[in-house]
Amino acid sequence: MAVITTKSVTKVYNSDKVPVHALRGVDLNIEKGEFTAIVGPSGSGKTTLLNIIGGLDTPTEGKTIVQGTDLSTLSDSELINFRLHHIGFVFQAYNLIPVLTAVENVSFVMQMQGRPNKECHNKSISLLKEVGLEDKINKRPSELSGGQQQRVAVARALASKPDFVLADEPTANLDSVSSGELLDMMAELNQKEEMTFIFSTHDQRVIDRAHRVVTLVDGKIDNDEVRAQTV
Amino acid sequence: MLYIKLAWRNLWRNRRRTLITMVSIVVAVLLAAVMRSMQEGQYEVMIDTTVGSFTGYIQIHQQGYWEDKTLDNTLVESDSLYAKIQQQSSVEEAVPRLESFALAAGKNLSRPAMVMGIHPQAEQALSDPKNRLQSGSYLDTSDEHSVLIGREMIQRLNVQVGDSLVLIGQGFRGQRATGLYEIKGTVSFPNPELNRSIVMMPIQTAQEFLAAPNRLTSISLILNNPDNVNKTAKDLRNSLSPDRYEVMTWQELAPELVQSIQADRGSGIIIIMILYIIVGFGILGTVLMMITERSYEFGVMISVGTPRLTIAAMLAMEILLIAFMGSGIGLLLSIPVAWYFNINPIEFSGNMAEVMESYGLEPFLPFSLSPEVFYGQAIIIFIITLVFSIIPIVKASKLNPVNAMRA
Repeated sequence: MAVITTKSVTKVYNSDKVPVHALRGVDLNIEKGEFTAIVGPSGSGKTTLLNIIGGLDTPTEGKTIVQGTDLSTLSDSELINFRLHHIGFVFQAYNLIPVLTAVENVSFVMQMQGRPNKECHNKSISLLKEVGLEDKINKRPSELSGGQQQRVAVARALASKPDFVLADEPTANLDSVSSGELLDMMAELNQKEEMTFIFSTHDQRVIDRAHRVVTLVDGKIDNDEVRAQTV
Repeated sequence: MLYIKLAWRNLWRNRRRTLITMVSIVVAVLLAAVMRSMQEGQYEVMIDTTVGSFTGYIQIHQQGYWEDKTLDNTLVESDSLYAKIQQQSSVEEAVPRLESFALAAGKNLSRPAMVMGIHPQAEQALSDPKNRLQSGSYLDTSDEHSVLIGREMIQRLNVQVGDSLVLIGQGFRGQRATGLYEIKGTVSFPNPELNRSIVMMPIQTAQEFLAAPNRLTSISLILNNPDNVNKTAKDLRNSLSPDRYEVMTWQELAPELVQSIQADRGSGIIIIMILYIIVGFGILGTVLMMITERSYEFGVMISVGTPRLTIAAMLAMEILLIAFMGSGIGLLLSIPVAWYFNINPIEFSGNMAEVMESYGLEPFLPFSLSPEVFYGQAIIIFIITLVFSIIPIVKASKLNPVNAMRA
């Protein structure tokens, strides 16, 4: 069963003035355990598609169904709650709450879910160990490198036990070593824990590691290439 | 707990801005509290001068006396009346008086006089004439044929302590009233009108002079707590026959004093409100800046599933913490200032002193230490801070995460 299904998703910005078609009838199915990259030139609609899949934006036309739930039927607060329990996010940069330490940032989402403090703390430490940051748990974002911050963001994304993780150009601000390490870590999580990852990216290193590459051009799927079996 | 931790740490992200905002609140609370303390101190002096030393907090008269202040409307002094007054636990002292007007004559000159029959001991709790003696000695008994006269009256009559004073007037039910008394001393009141015209004599002497044995124009009550005025007056009205007695509070006895205090208090509050509104706009600017520079962060928080209410609560907590600390420090600083000027009142001299004395006030301005002066400011600044925070908090809680992260 598909974790994510988009049906004829269209997004038009400034529809009352000069309409800009960001997406034009995108149909997409993402299965559990996929490691998918959504690629395309700037303005092709990658981030818009990711935002719509993540329930951060609403399509002008069409539907987005995540784990059997039509996101268009949810109210704003229901969408926030849905994201809290079903979707992990990793953004390009400045992902973390600056005044919280690494462990507190990871714990934050679990606390929002209402889980007991001790469980949140222990789980956060174990996730930070998993992403190789056991010695940085009490560091604030300003004391971490860009790569380390992205690892904390991945740990936070996983903390809520999501159905999938959406990563919007996660390596855009990282050097090649940090990018490689981050990708290794996410690939390992994909392999070991069957976590579904969907990236939007320009980065060839990410594209090279993806099992499936969906190419968007002018808001349409131009190519959908499956390169390897998902886990 | 999480919100408090987040709010506290966020406050110190921009230490300088937080401190500037807090200092503006500290200064506003300090200025407002000190100004209100000064104003209330002035009112306390006015009330104390008029009420505490002249009218008393409550007066009991014969029914109709206040409307028509004649000796024919005097009440009869009785043990049962005093017993009912003493039943009120808040009454500290009951001070009887018999007041009338007469012509006072010395060797060559005569002047109109306000004759006040007083109980020499009880009166010390009210106008305290013993401590206001300027020359001579105080009255010893309730029936001696001696008088104390105002410090200007003695000059106006061109007499001296030890001389005789003749009083001529009209007594109870139109009877002729005449008497010859020894001037035993002079008294000085803050009220110049009293100094020009008062003649104080023992109450029994006054009753004898006015042919009004056992009669009083008023019984003034001193209370152990001025806040109990209304309750005590109500209880007395219930226990005393309304056909025979009227019970009046100082606010009813001196309505012009109440009105002048209310008018002055109103103008003071307007000035303070202007001050607070300026501070409020400062807080509004700070909060708007806090939100604008953190909109990306709020976008991320909403994206990962933070309820909007949580973000609003976190912001509210930050603002509350600034307001709480600012108000607290402002109050802590204002109390010693008010305390100092309460112990060392501002003393007026020259024309200002004369103006105050002409209004019957002592030329001193002690600051009030009344608790509501201080916590009232903290409550007001708290409310204003919250009001000025509503718009930004609503704005933050309606952020569109996509737009916020794009900005």
